[in-house]
Amino acid sequence: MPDFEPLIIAFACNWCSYAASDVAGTSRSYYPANVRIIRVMCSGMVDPTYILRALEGGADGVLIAGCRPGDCHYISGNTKAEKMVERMKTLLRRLGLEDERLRLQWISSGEGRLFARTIEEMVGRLKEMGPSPLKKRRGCQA
Amino acid sequence: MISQQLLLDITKCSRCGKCTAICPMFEKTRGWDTGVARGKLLISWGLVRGELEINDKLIESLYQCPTCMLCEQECAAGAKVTEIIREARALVVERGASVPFSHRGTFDTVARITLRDGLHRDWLDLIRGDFRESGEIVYFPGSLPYLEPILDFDLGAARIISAAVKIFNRAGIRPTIVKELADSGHDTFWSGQYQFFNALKEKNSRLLAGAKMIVTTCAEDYYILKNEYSLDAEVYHISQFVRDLVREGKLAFSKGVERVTFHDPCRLGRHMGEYDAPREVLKAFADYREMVRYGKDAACCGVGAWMNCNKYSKQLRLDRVKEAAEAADTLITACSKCLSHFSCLMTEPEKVEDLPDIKIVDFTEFAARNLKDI
Ligand code: SF4
Ligand code: SF4
Ligand code: FES
Repeated sequence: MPDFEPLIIAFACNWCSYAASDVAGTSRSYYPANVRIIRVMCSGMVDPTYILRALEGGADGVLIAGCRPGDCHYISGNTKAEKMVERMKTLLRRLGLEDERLRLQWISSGEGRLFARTIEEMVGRLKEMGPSPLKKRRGCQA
Repeated sequence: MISQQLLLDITKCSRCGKCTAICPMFEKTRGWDTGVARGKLLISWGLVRGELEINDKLIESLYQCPTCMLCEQECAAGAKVTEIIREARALVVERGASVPFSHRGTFDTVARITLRDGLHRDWLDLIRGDFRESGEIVYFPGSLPYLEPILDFDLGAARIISAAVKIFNRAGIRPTIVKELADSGHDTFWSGQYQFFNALKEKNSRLLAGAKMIVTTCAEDYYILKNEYSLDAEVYHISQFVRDLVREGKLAFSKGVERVTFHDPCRLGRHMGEYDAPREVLKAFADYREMVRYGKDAACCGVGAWMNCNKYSKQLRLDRVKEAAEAADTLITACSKCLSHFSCLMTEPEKVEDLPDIKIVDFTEFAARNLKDI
């Protein structure tokens, strides 16, 4: 699959990672256009079903980006997200999906460069892995 | 499409109010007829005749019922209440409304994913014990491996599945476990998504074509495989399987002193009429106590098919564990869903007022733990 362009759905916390994606934009850090960003008020509000629905709907990878430990504006939303992501990785493996399709990354609001690098890394890895096995039937292309 | 017979059932309802005295949900929601069988029957009637519009209130009424069947077995008119409610749900689904699942529908999504072919499922490493991947005697763990990671407490999928395999092994059987099987479709069926259910059923029936015997650890899986599939295989709930093995002298237990009681899952009890098998097994080795409401009058755990978890169902669960705590130290149940709902209640003791101190254990795990060498 030479021309495969993975689609990534990113759930980005309003207070940090979403701002970081803005910083990436304004400071003209390059990052691939494979990502669709969904702003959430805290990484802790990302529900398992959002991840599964994204994958079911044709995403090749899902990124959950939140404030660094100790920085969550709702105190422990990010620790909650961390536990949830661990459990979802288990679920994905059990269901027959590669758990690397799901990534959690702490990105604080100034770290535009880190945001860009995270997306670059994910795109690179997903290209190696190929399209999500859930995608084949419902060919929703990026 | 709702059958003539079921429609006739609705007209037979004389609105005597017996169900209002029995329905646990009605008691908790206190008041409106939309919360109890006789009202739900009228709503179903209105839906079928096109006299009612689908709105949130109507959906709430139809789905806020764990279809526990308590009312149905007492209904003076003999109306098949749960079937009617299910058919009405199917009408709602057919007309494009979405099902108000708990957990934002995660379990429904998982069921849809299990329908996809070509995924390399990876959970057999959970199992300790001797099994094979194709053969005639099948152990059906259902969606247990997938339920567990979604819930934020330890459901014990590995322990329960391994316990079942241990029981088979003790009786000299290497059970078959087919990891490609899709969700059994119990929840899909009871939510009224018939088309989706048929797809699950078709896939599983294909994968189970060579089976002669199927044993489930979950009462809901047992119900659906036995009732709504047309399999050539004999379907058993693990409590029946264990009872038979004990009778044949192929399994034995060491006597324990633990005081236990049994919660009849609605699907195993009222829906399938199996009350004796789990009791026969438990009485054989544990200090068995009965709760006030048991057997055909057993209270429901409060949630049916992941559809109506709310403050009312939580109250039902709390009432039930309190009742259990009066009778015993350990509550045994034989359904992965009842186990989830009860365990969920017990995970946050600080958040629930006067939560009793009681252990919730799955039947399979409990039986396997007490097995004795013959
Ligand atoms: S099935 Fe149970 S919850 Fe539903 S109306 Fe009847 S008694 Fe009430
Ligand atoms: S009781 Fe059941 S449906 Fe409700 S939150 Fe707990 S596990 Fe989920
Ligand atoms: S506010 Fe950013 S992760 Fe909670």
